[in-house]
Amino acid sequence: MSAADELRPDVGFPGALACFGFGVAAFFRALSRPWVLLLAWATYTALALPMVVPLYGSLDAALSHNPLAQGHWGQVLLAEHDRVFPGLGRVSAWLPLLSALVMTLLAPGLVRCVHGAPRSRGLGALLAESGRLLPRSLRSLLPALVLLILWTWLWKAFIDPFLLGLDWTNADADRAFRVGLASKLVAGIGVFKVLMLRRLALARLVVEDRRSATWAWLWALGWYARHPLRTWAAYLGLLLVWVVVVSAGSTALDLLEAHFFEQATRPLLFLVATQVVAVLLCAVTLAGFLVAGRLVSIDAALRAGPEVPVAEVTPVAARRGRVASPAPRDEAGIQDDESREVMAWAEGGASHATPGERIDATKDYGTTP
Amino acid sequence: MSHRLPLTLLLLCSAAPAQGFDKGRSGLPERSERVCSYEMKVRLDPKAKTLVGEQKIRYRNRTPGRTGELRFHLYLNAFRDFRSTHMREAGPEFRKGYKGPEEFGEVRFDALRLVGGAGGPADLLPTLRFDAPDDGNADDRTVAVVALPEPLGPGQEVELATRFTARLPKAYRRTGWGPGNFFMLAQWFPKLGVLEAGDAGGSTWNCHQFHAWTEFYSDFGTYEVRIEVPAGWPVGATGSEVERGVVDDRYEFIRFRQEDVHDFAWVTDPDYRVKTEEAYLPALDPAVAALLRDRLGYDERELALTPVRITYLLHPEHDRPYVFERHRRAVHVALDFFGSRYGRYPYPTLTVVDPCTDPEGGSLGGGMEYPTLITCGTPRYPHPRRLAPEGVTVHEFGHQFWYGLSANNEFEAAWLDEGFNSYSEGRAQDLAYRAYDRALGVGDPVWVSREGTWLIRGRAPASLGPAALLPKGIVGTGLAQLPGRLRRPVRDLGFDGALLPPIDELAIWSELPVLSYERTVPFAYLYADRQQFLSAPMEDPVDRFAWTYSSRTSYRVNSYQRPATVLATLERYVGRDTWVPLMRRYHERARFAHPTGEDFLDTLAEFAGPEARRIGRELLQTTKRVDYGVEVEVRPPFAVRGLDVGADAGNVDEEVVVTVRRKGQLFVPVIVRFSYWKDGTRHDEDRLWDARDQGPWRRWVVTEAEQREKGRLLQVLVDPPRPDLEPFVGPAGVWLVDENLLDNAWQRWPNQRQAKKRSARALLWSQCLSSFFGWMG
Repeated sequence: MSAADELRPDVGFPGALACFGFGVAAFFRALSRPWVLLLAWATYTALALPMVVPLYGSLDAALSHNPLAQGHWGQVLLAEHDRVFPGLGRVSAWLPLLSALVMTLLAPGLVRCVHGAPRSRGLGALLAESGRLLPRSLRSLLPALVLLILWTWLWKAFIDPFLLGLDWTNADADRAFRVGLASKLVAGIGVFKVLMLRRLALARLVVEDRRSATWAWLWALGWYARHPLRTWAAYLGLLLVWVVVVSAGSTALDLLEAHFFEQATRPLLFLVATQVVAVLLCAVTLAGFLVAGRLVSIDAALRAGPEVPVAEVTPVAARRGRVASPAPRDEAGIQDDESREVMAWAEGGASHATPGERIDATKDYGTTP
Repeated sequence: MSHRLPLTLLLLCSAAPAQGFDKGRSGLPERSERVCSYEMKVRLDPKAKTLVGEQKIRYRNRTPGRTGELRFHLYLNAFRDFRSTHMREAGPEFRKGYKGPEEFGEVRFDALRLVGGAGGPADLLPTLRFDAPDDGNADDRTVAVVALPEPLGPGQEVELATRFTARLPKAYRRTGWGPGNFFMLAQWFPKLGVLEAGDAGGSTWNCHQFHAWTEFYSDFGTYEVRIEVPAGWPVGATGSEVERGVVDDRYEFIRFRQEDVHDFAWVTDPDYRVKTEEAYLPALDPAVAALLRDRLGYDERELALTPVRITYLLHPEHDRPYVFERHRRAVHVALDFFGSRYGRYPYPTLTVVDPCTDPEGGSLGGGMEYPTLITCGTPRYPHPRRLAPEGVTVHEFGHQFWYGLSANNEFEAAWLDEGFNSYSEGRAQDLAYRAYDRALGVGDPVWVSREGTWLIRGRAPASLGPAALLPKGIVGTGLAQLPGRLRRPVRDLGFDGALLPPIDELAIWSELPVLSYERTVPFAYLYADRQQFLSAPMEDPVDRFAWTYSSRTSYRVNSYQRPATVLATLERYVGRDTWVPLMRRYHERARFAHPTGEDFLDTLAEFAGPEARRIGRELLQTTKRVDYGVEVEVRPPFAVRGLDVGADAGNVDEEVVVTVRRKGQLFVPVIVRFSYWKDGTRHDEDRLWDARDQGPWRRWVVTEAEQREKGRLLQVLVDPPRPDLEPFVGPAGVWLVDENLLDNAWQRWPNQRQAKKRSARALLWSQCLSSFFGWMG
């Protein structure tokens, strides 16, 4: 069975497995876009530096001339430093909000970059694209914020009390605990779902160069209603990658610190090691864009259907002649290899159909099970 | 000073009962004065969640004065409505937890008769009124007063007979019911306050209202309670089971009895799984025993420990071999430590209850102490290198000594039990769990708990852990202000402006070392307690009434972590060889008595002198701070630019000005260690900066000539680390309470390793946070 077959909506569980696979594969595809990675890394680093630079200065002043700042005693003194100079930490209190805002600005450009061909992109183009698409990004963010608040209220006011108030939960402490845990899991799933839908809506706006955030959200909701399993599967694949990166990275750093750093002063080596982990985390973030973009492409391919001329599956704005898409496209208007593969399936068969060929619905292309 | 006493005198002293703190006592008292005894019969109706009970109370006035009234604690009335003092003080967040009228509780007298003494027999119920001596809250009904027909004189007794009904609350605060048929029955019966000697030979009742964060205070006596529960339900209770029988076809009864206790608690739940350890004989610490033999002249009989029958009641979700073994080990560790240090555990039984978990994730009735019965706090998934459940188990057992036996007034001096117990708990665990136990799979503890993470990463970064930020950080940007501006109908719908739901379970992320981006470090209670109390504002002295602290945080740190750190500091100051006998003697005098802070300070002075008493008093009764630091200036002898100092200047070509500053208000003697380096060897020289006539600073100039003689001055340490002090060696010396350890040392050549390593970690942590929250963008 080809990858295109696996992604067929009517195939069910194997399709979800395939989506899980491309969630994982997206991470590796993100790694193949070094300059985008570098840009994401530089962004995150730039956000971190206002906290880290003063922290280093403070630590240097407090500990460098302190002979006790070694080994375990040093760890105690580090805790002491955090307590005595809490202001440095407070600087980073804004970091999450700042990173969310910066990513709101850069996300459209990054989606363009990671979803498009890896070549022919530059920082200027990315920023230009981000700027051009910013209003759409903000418009698509607004429903997400509203939904998050609405969901939180709904969960706190109704769902959680309802679940915890069920008679059968109060009859058994163990069960009650599990229900309590499940209720919070439901809350977490809801939050993740909203963020996922927001990603899809953004990708829809950017990949197809559409303008209406409302339609993008409606499309995202429609897509999710039709393909919940594979949407979740794709993102769970990514989540798995994140957990592996974080766990392996942190453990490796611990080992490195314990076995090399304590004995010899190799700060540069340690810094490089931490930044390798940071780059991998950036790849996970970019992979998130790839996944969303790919789901949009798949939908485009599916919507094109066997009867629709392939040429019609192009960015709406480009079709309308308003904006020329900066992404290099093939004749079918598809931007990346994966989507091209999916497109081939939508056209009737990767090995039999040729780009631009009008699909004959009655013709057997040999790939439909 | 010699503390040896003839054995005969010891035995004589041991035989006497105790109630007051006897400053002349040496050796353990065998029993209490038994001032107030209760014989009770109680029946549980699990469906209605009520108790119906009868009491026979015998009470003796042990004061030199007379009293014309009796005062009762009706603790359950704290949960009667939201107007009680307890509920008001607990705050809106706590009150929000109550979901319906069935979750409230109360206790009332159905009958109250004076059977004998003080002009009885008489019906006292018509005279009953409620009082609010602490805050005048007319809606608070936790203190009831009845008038006696005739005053009760010194040494006279009264006998009372009561009937009462208790409607049980949901066990949000340690007593009541929980999911299923879980019942935790504490403070469930009307209980007499404590009549104390007042001024000018009079007497006065010490019977405080039930505050949000106060505990209890009662006289010692004998409790005999017949408990009627549905047949087959396991029951755990204070004391020993002395009788069991059938009431009817649905109910059975169990009678428990215990002398020399001051409270009675019990638990029942058909789901409990019961395990029993028939006789555990605690192990005597040989080093401590040798010290006590040497310093106090104790013989084997005085030091001997006695076997204890331990019953474990585990809720099904905690009944796993791994968890049970950890509890068992913790109980053994505690019995060994407390028995060795403070004297034998005098009761034949101990009941360890691991209660059920609340649907909201809290432990209902967990982490609490009652005479011979403790309740634990077990995480759902215990971490092998985090001392949970051990911490709670050891702590609650420790209360058998500091609260149970040494029965201070917890309303007025919570630190005398919580502080002493926190110190002891920490010490017991630091000693027992330092090394990893391969067989059990626990030990070698690290800072990975939520608090631990907070400790090692500091206040701000921990509050910024991804999980912590989810519910609070983003909400805190202004949306949280919104609900206050909304109309009431909208607020009533529960809208609080939160952008994200409070998913506490996600906090486990910040507990996992792999996600903390910090290396885990060895855990030591000494430093954990120190960090916690120093992180809170120093607004109150340790020694004050528990409900008068400025905040709950202030109550917590001043009752637990700060006194624990002060005690550890005093131990370091007086030395272990003095401290261990001192604490033993203090406990002996406090056993079966109601000690005060002054009693402890007097014992401190007796063993370690008036200067120790002064320091202890100022640390406990004032908000004075201890903070010393060193500043060093290296002055070349020829500081004029361009001037050649000459080849013969060699390695000792300068003078070093060392200034030690006292930044706190409290004067203590500190050692300043000068370390010199000459011919490849290090030479340390300690100089004492005495507390007497101590100014704000003291300066030493290490001259060129001196350095020629001793070597180049390499390091200066104020209050240097003391590897000889047990059990965890860290960067502090004697003065664990020193507010800032960062400026306590100086070295000639900088070492930037820690700064660079930490900054690299912080950079990665920030990048991780950005990538995590970038998803919101």
